[in-house]
Amino acid sequence: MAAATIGSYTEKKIANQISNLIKRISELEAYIKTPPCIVIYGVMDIPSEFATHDWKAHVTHILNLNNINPNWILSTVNPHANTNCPYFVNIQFISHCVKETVYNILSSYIATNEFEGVYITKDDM
Amino acid sequence: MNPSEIEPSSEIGKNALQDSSRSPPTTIDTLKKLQARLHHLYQLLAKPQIIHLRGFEHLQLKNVSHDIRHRVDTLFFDANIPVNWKTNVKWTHPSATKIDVHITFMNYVVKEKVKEILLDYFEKYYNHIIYID
Repeated sequence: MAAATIGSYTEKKIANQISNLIKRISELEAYIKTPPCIVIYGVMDIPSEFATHDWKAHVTHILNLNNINPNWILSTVNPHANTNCPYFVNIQFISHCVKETVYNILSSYIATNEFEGVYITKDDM
Repeated sequence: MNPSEIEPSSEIGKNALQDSSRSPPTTIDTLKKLQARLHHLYQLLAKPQIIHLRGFEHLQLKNVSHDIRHRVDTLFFDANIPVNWKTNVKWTHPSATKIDVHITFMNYVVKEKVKEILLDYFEKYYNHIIYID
């Protein structure tokens, strides 16, 4: 009886470990296969000569101002394709290391200039 | 180390495999699937990410060089792909006139992005006579 209980306990523990492993592997697969990205909210509130009419030129201008290499960027996505003045933009990078570096640079830029209503987030594991 | 070669080090892992004769087949199947997925992850992370261009000899580039590397650079320039996204270029001649090019990239997401851009480019300008596998 005791042996059966221990066996059942071990089986449950193994099942639990396997379930955790499956979840973790799925997360890692998604992490590797999804382009690393940051999101800049209130991006159009950062002053620039392009801010009102061309979101892509505006974002490129902000990146240039911060000496961010354009080759580091996989793509810049406006999730609101029907507007030229999106509330937020999604910037995808060639690697997670690059994403972290750009995140630090832009966070510091936003904090230093105290742009109102502008903030930045990144995908994390 | 290749994850498929990793032996389970924890007591739970050892028991799971030692008791394989008593375990229901689904547990072993699950473990094998997990091992395969780990191996695939290892391939993605540790192995070079390569695309193969077939029909490279059909390219009609403005700047034609005898050096295949220069021609790949020109292709990247024309397709608006940063040349430093690739880490290596190799090529083979399956016949006297054919050239197959193998381009290595820094990681999976870059390879997928380049594939996407090149497929669009080939579709637009070459009507699929050059293709990627």
